[in-house]
Amino acid sequence: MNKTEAVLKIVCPHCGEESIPVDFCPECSQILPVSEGQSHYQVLGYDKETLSLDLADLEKRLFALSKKFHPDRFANRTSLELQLSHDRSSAINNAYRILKDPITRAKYIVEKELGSIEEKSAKVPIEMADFFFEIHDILDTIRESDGKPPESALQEVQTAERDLMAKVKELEMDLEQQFAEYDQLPNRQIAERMKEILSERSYIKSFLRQIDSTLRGEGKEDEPQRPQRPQSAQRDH
Amino acid sequence: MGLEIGIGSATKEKPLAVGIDLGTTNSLVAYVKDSVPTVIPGPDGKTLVPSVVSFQSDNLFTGSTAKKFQLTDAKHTVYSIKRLMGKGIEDIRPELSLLPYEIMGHGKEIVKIRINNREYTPPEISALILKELKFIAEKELKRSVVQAVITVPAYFNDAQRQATKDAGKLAGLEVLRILNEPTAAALAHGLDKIKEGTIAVYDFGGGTFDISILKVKDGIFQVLATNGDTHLGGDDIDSRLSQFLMDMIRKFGWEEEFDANTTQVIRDAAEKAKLELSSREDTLIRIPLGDRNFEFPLNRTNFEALVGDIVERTMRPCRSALKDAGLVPANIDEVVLVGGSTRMPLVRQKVQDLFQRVPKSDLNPDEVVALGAAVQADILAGTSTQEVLLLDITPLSLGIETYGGGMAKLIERNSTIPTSASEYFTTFVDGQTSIDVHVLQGDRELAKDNRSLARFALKGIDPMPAGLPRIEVTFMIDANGILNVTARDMRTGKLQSIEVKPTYGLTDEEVEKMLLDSMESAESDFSARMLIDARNDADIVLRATDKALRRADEFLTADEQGAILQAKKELIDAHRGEDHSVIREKIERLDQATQKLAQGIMDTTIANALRNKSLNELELEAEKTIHK
Repeated sequence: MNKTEAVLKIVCPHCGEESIPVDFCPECSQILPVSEGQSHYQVLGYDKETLSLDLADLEKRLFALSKKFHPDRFANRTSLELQLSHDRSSAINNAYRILKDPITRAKYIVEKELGSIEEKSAKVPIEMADFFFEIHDILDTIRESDGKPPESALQEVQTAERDLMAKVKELEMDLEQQFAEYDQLPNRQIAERMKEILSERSYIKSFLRQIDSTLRGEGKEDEPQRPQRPQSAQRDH
Repeated sequence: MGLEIGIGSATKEKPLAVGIDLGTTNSLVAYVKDSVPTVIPGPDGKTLVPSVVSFQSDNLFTGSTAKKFQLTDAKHTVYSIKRLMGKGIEDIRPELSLLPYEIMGHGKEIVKIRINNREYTPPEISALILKELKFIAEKELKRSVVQAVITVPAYFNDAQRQATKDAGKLAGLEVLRILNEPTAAALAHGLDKIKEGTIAVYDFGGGTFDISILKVKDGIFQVLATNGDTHLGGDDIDSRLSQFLMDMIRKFGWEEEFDANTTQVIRDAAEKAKLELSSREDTLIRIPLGDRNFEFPLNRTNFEALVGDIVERTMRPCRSALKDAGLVPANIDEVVLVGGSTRMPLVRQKVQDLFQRVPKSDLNPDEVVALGAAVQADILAGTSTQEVLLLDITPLSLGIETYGGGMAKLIERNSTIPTSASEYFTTFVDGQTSIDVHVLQGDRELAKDNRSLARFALKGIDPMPAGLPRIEVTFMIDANGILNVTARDMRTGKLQSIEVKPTYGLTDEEVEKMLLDSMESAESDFSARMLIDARNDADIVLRATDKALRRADEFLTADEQGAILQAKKELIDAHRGEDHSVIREKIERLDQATQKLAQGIMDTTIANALRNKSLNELELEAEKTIHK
């Protein structure tokens, strides 16, 4: 069978005409539904799925596609077209949001390669376990001090906060360095390395939120979670 | 008269959509006239239409005529209804004592206002204001107006937006878009002043505060972040000053208790003082109490000390928005001021301090939102030549309640809309045929700390063992910032039916019923008006007839007089009835019956007048008339 004959066909929901997936029906010119199962890259018209992306180019794609498919352009058409335009725009906006941020972009590619990364069960990076426990104890002291926390405790936590923020930046730079390598030759090893970086970053970010809410008192009612001891951790004496 | 609502409705006229700023204190309606957005003035010639509704016995007053009743009949005069949209009784408990009209409700359900033994929901009251604006537009444009863009604060949640949309529908309008106020202002400002750059819109109105940060580039207005407080506005400043004045009145021993009307009089005086102090350093507040006047001098410094913390509350959302947008004040090219409250020098100073530049208010801060809405209305109606596009965002995160009371976030706040997220659901019990989903807005960890939006019941699931069904539910926030939910049974591929129960709103069925009820009463309202008019005209004709009949012997035979008396009797009978068309018919009959009499009287009157004037005078009069 000729390759072109095997191409997926789509049926126009407005007039019933069959066609290959394009944006508007060649017969009745009305908007066609989004093709199922498209990746974020495909939605934005990329040929290749790379981790390194030119953000200015990404934005250009968003603007061009928005001008074409935004519901504002379909306000006077049939309600089915308006609904389909919403579906299209959602896909475009969702794709842009994921691909714009290098972290979510990396997570997207890594999950495609290795499966879902469970953020909620991110574990303490082993080599930092003691540090986190110490800080967590100090946070408890501050919370229980009834509005008059000891100065030394505050200092320690603020220093820790600064250090952790720097660590996050370090991890993010490390991650971006993996991008060029991965784009050259996509392989499982690099994907695993990126997964580790993302996991560690995720844990530190959530810990920073705890510090922030303790120091600045927002959402006090949200009880921060105690870090879970990695099962194989051995305390060094 | 059928329902004329729908896309591409059966009107032969060119499409025309108006922009409406439905404000807490004042509303405006605008349209694009020869490519220029223009506000339409109300019956009193002013562009600001007070968002006030007053129920006076059988008559309903809206706008400036209603505002007059605020001081004399506060119990039956509803204002600041925007503060009650999309809310439950618990949300507004703190200010119940400040509002003079009766508000009721219980638990988590829509609040109602009770006037003259009838209950009104906030969308119904807002619809009355929208109807007035619709009428103003139709009078000016001399055609029917059925399409509109209505603005809301950017920080309005789903329930508040839906309530506004419902109000539009109840007013007989097809709401093309629910548009965020700062975005509308940016659009009006951007088309006029700044073509490219990053704008911060600081919108401090009567009841709400919004801050939005936008990027304008290539004709695209992209909202980067938004924040605010839907319960912070000029009203709060008025309340603060009112409370202070009441304390002063008590302190000086003038009064202890204040009834509804007096409270409003004090509030009115406070508002006036606030406005005065924006352009003057001091003012003398005068409050009529009984037959005396309570006078209190107030200078700007003391006023600012009194209300400073209220203005300060607007600063935190500004900082949060900058943070969410990943920007610092130096990145902002222009700060645009919107809303009457930004006229206060204190506000301008604080904004300048935070953004480190002088804020702009070139366009009238009261009108800029309506103008922007008109531009967007023009675009959506397809009548515009503008090549602009608005990319707005949703202000609040959206999620569902999980087993155990947590909140699973599906859509992040500040996501560009439209946006969507899908989740898969299944059953817990064998044979379960429906699944409940509780949707909430907010960023807290626990469901109970977030804002309940609605409960969705996925119905009609085929009974089977627990865990087998697989329903894909798609949560989509549309271009209005309103949630739309669709569900699909993955096993059959068929669409699932969903029953929606809004927490603080009306169901579709309730809105439909209200619409039908109002149309029925619109018919009877109309008939009642016609009847009153007909009876009035009948009275005039009957009086004239009686007067003329005194001279009937001069001109008419007995039969002719009899005919007039008969026609007169028939009209009096009709007057007692309820049918205005019969009255009109009888008026016509009586008119015809009295023709000869009327002619006779007129002829003699002219003859007498002529006899009393000399010939010369008549000639002079004739000349004057010809040369006019």
